[in-house]
Amino acid sequence: MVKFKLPKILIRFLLIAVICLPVSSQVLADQKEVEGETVLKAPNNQEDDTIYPVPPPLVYQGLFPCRACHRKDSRGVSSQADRGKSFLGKFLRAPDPRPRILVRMHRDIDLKHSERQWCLDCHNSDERNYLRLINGQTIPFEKSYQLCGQCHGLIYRDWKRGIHGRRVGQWNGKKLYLLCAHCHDPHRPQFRKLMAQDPPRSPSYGRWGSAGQLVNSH
Amino acid sequence: MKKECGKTVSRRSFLKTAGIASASLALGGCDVGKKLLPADFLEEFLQKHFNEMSPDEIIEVKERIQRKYKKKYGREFVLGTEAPYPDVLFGYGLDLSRCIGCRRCVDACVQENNQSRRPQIEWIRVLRFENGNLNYEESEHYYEAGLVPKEGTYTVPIQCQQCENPPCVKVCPTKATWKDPDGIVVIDYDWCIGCRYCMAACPYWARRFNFAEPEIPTEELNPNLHYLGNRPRDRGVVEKCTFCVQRTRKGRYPACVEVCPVGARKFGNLLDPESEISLVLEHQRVFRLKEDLNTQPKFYYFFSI
Repeated sequence: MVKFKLPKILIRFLLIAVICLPVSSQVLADQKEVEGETVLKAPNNQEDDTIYPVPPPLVYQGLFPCRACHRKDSRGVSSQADRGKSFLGKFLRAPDPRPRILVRMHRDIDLKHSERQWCLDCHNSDERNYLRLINGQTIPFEKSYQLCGQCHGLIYRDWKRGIHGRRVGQWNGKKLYLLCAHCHDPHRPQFRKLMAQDPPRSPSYGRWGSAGQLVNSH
Repeated sequence: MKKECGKTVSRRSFLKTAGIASASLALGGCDVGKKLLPADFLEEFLQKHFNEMSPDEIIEVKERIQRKYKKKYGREFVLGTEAPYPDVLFGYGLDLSRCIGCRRCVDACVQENNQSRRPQIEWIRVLRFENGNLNYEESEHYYEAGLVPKEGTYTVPIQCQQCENPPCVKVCPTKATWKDPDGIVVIDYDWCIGCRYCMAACPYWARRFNFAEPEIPTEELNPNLHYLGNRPRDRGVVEKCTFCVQRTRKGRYPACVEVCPVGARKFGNLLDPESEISLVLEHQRVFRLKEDLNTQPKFYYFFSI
């Protein structure tokens, strides 16, 4: 009987293929999740239509409007309003949706907001002057509280009640609700330490220290 | 009660007339008298209690005090005497899990309420505690200015608690301090004799005394005044937080509420179920300082986390 013998190299190839198949399919699935538009289904929070009066968002004082540079939408097409406005605009590239380290622009932004956060999770790649909710809805910066409220629901609830956050104006009338981004840097939301003001001057006769001795601070 | 009031008024008006007559004779040719405007000086001396003044008298007093301040500081001031809003009871909330002890509120309060810079008077005192310690005697309010929040500590700002049952009002021998219908405990500085009984009675260490003539740089004076609030004080009177009566009786938030960089301070009408302070009371775990003394403060501390 002739023994059918598979060439060694073929066996090795098959072995590697068997091991790698589930891994590669996982990788593909991951990519699909990143690129796919239909994978994420967020609850529609449009029912909360209350408009809270807010002071001008801080982004308006910075590099705004964003569309001065970001003219092309996610398909690489200039928007109707910007078409033919500038010769240079035609050479701008379409937005790159892949998470990466920014090397040319916005290098000052130190993104430390959860582990897998990326610009286009919040910024709208089709209309850069606006933000984007998870459900695809476009919102202006004045309504950014809806965006933050998607993840920070309890804080959002307290903010609406006036328990979290700051308000200025009238206790019995017109008031402005400071946006989340007025106090927290949205790219690095942890509250930064502040320098405290000077302590009160202690009386010139001194005061009692914790060890029971008289401390004279003058 | 009415009879009594009538009696007092008639006695006062008699004293006033007699006083003006005799004193104008005495001060007739005196230099000091000329400097102080004898009429104004006597009017001030014989001024009625704020709650007993008629609307006309209030206007008269207002104009006189504005004249006095213009002369003293060389600036125009707007002195208000706004009455409390009807159906309003002010309440204040302070979120201890947010407060970082930066003392911005202290600074804003000093600026807004024309507190003396030298000798230094500050109505808000920020106590710093070690975590887990709530013994007031072991707290530190002279802690150094550095980066805050400091690990291992928490801070509790203390100011007038605007008690519903205020011990300071009970002890005042001249009725110079009283609780207005909107819940603010106010002081008529012109009736305060500086006995400091109220300071001894206050369990929150909230009142301050002008031991010397207050010094405030003229350009730093806040010109929007209230008779019972932030008008510049004289030596020898007691003062304290009034929830910025000059702002809150015009519908505005107190200065400390607006300035707090972490939004720890809440203010509103306790009788309005939709106000911020009512929602704090409804949804947060609140406590008041020294509740066992039955002073019933309207200043609620809470932890939002």
